[in-house]
Amino acid sequence: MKKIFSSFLLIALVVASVSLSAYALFSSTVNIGGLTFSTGSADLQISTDGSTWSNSVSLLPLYENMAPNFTSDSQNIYLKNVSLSDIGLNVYTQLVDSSPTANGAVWDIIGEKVIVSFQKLVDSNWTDIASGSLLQWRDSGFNFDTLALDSSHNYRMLVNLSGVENTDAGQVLSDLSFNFTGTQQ
Amino acid sequence: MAKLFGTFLAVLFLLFFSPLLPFKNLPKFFIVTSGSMEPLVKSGSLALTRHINSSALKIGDIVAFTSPSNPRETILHRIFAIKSNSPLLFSTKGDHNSDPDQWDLTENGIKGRYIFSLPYLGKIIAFIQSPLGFILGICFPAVLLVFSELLKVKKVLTKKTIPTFLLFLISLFSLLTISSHHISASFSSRATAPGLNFSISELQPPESQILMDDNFTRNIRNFNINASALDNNSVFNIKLYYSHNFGSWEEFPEFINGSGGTFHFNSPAGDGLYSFITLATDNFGNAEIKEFDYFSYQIKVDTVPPTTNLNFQSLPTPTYSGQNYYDWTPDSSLCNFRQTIVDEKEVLTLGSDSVSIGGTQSFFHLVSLPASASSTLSFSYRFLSHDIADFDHFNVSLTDIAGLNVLENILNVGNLNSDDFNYDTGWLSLSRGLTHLAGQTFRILFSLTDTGEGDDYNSYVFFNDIVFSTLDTRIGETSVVNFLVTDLGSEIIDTPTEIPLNTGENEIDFSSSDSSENIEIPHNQSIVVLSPLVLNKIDKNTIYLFNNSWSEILDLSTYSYSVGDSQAITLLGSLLPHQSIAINLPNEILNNSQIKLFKDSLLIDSQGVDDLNIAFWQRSTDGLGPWVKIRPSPAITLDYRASVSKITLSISGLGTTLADMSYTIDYSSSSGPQQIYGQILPSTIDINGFSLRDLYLGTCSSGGTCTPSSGIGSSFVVTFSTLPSQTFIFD
Repeated sequence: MKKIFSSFLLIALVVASVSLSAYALFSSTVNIGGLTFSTGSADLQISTDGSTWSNSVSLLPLYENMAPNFTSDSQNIYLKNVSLSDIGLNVYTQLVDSSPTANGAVWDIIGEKVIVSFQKLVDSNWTDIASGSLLQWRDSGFNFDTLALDSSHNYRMLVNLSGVENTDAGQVLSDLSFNFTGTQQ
Repeated sequence: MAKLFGTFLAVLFLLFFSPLLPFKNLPKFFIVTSGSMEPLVKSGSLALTRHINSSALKIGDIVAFTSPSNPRETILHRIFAIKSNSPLLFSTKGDHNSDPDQWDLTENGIKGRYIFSLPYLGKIIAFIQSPLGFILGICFPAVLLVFSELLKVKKVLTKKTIPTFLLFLISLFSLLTISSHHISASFSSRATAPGLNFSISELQPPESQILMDDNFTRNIRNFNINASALDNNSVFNIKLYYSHNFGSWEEFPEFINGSGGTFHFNSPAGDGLYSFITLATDNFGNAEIKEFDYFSYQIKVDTVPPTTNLNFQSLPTPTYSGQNYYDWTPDSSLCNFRQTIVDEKEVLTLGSDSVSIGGTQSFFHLVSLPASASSTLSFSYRFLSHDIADFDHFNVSLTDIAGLNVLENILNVGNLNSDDFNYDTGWLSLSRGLTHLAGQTFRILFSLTDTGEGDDYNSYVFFNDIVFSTLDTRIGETSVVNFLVTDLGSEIIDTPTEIPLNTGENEIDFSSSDSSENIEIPHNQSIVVLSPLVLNKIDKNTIYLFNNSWSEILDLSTYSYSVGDSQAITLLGSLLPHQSIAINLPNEILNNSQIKLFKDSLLIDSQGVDDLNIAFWQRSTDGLGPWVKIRPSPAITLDYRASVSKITLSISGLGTTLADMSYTIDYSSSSGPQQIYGQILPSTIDINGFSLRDLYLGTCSSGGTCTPSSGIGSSFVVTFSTLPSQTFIFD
């Protein structure tokens, strides 16, 4: 009788375990199936002409001595996913201050007055994808785009001013970089 | 016993490893799906982490954390840097990634610190998490176990042990399956665009000014204008704007780079009043805004000197009819080719008496200048040309009557500025003495000639006040001459005043200058002022002088005369106004001699004479008129007085002595033909050229007794000199 009871107890335990596991696995809203195990490395490259690619390019110095009615000439950049792994990349863009000490309080003066926008060329039309002040680009950045493996896209950068006053004259934020970080999707 | 052990393991997993249980600090399993932490954690591994206080984490620890960019994702990366301790902020990086992650990881997102990993087990667990894997890996062994237990119960006891290992596997995989999460989004790469600088320019525009000097006027068209500008930062450039005669504002092509410099202004609109302002721009593009004020800085450009002409109106109206062309109106019958340029009305309005020609045209007029008066030509003109270079010429010349030979070129104007399509001389005046052409008849020709080169652009010439004037005057009517001066630009500051005229020929030079320091080229003019005592009539033996003044009694002792090369002889006595005096000469005047009259040794009048044998020279109007050679035609009259047997022979018109002054009178008497022969002595000719002789008709003895002829006929034939004989019949 004791063995019969232990057997039923075991059966109940197994059924419970399996049921519980099945419930835990398949009642979740998370699709956990179809996992892909990737090896290799990610590689996001940038270009200003769409033909010469590297991990770092210098943009044109179009944003110095901007007058109140400043409207910059747009300049093109290109991003390309050339990862060695078959992965897509979520591109996240953030402005990085390499001279925070020198720039210091200037951020508080003009950080919100310089507006940087990026547009993406889609079907021969420029489409807004991200726009914000320098502070927003520095502090939080923006999700920029997604790039499938071996795909590239053309973007352009636009800068304008908002609410600049004469007291802002001579303020300089220098040694800034836009980091385009592609993270595996 | 084994069965109990298996149950114990299952319970143990449930208690300590199942994430379903409410114990956050328990270890956790993660299926590693990416190779970003290779080689330490290979893709497909099952990684085990356990909870740790975030403050205990240090650089180099590997942590599982919720992706800051996607809360549904868990990432296993190594702590790359601790960016802040309060609050705790970590920078993370996959070992296989080249760059740190873009986020700052907070302590709230950390799920646990990595302990170890089992390669490939993650793939097995991931397979079991799939429906098929779950059926094969969990359900199938569980069914086997349940059936095994049911058979055992149904067939009563058996010695066979419970498959404890199978139960362990079921429990293990069940627990791992439901407790393992996968880690994703672990590969990353970064592209950067460094070196960006953002700077704000100033908003304040610069302020510019012209550096003024005291010279309001310029007599050259190319001159410098200095300007400077001030700015809070730096001046980019300064531009110059100008207005000509208060017209529209134009931008001068040249500009100054920087905060100061010089404009090399070239008066693009020609002479006139220029107003200037400058506008500067700074390096930030701030442009100066300024009122376009005509009066803030002005310069008058005047490169044309004044024009000075004799004021003909100040002289008495010349006496010689037909020789003065003042107020001359061209004869349309002679100038029927003249053309009025109707599309240049604004030019025509400049002179009420303007006449114009256009295209390739000309007109002329015949002019006869008095022989013994000095004459002057003057006219005003304006030459405009839309043609370039000197393709179009405006020419004024004097030619012979037929127009074949050029006697003298008066003016030749062409546009020598090769790139100026709007050449305009403005109104100019010209005065030219023509004394050397006295007594001549010639043609004055105005012509506008197009060489035909280049394009067929028009040129125009406008005239005003074409004047020929005789300037001779006489004492008592005027003793001074004054001038008319015009200047198109700046103020006239130096001009000749009245110039006294001396008796005789006056050579005067005159010119004017303006405030722009334009100096007119001096003009030369000859004006003859007749003396109060003038030569009036000259015959072979006599010189007649005339008091030309209105009221002055002349003292002749200050005058002298000479004939030919002989020494001057001083006169004596006095002469009433408008009276003549005859001076009998001891010797006859030779032909081609020059008779000169001096006052105080100054030549005041002269006249050359020739052919005095049968003629004399006389001014047609006493003292004023031109010299005229008079060939007298003597008139003979004969009176018969029978009571006294005499005839009176009167000969008039004897202006001068003749070569043959003899006369014969033939008549008849009862004794036959009779003849009277005699000579007219010059001394018997009065000042009016009249000589009278009384002749007796008979014979007289040496004792004085005269016997008249009897039977005198009625016919008398008189022959004088070389004149034809005349017959006089008396009743």
